[in-house]
Amino acid sequence: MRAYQDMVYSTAARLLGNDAQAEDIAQEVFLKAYENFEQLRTSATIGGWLKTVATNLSLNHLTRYRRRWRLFAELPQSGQSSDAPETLFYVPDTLCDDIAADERARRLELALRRLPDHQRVPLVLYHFEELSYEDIAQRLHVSLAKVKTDIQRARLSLAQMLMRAAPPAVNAAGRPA
Amino acid sequence: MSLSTEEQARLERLIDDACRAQPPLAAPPTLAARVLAQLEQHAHRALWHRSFSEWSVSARAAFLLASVAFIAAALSWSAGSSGAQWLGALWQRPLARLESVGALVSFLAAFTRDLSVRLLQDIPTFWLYGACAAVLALYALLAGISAMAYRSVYGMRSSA
Repeated sequence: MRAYQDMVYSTAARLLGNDAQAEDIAQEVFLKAYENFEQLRTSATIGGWLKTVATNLSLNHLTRYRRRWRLFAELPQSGQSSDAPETLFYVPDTLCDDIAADERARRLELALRRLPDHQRVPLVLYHFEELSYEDIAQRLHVSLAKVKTDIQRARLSLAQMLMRAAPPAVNAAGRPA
Repeated sequence: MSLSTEEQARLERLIDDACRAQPPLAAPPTLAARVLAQLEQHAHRALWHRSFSEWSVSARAAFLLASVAFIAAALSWSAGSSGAQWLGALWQRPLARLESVGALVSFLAAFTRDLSVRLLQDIPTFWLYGACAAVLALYALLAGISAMAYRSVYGMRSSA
């Protein structure tokens, strides 16, 4: 369990954007693993199995609980008022390469959490879980176009948040060096 | 904001590189202890806290028999002597032919169907409609309370 707990917890935490819920999901994943212990004991793909179960349980949690509650109250969350990044943005050649790796990792995790669910979840599924756009659309029950748009906007927001945290060097033309 | 195709591809590559380089998050130190405690608790659950599929065959059979006996007693009590006669006839009719699992399943299906028909005939329409209305009213009440709780708790959390 200790060999896989970080991986399972990371999967849930990045999808859910919430530490307490991620811990609950991770616990559930390991309880399911225990129920299937005989089958998994000799399996070479136990890591993949755990990751898949963590992803499925996290997505179930998001769809089953959060969407149901949102039906009751169309309350905008702070930071979710607009999908589109609000300022003009030049895509840099590198992303925060000038800062220490652990600091960059910390900033990326923070920026991920600040994304709204409908942007963070497809982005995590695409870039961390390596699902295709089509698979993500199928899993989230949304159109392919929406998945692509949400992921594109999530990338822009993420890059903006990272660049805002560490402004890049700017040349005379006002473009990133 | 619109980005050129080239910029979109560059942005995708940048984010992809950043995500791939991201180390896993450290699980809370309490996770292992929580899982072990849950497993311990799981192992010592009482029979009635376990799912039906985890019960032993004898416990399942005893439960089914007890349920059928309870239904029979309730029906006899509510329907008087005619109900008792009907139950006796129903019980004796297919019992001799319960030789296979298929026969048992078909017996249970027929029993459930006949019992439902019998109950619908015996229970006054007023009580049936009343029960349906009560369930719907309780559901609506629960939804209303949930919405109010969500609005107050979630709204307070968002504005904090």
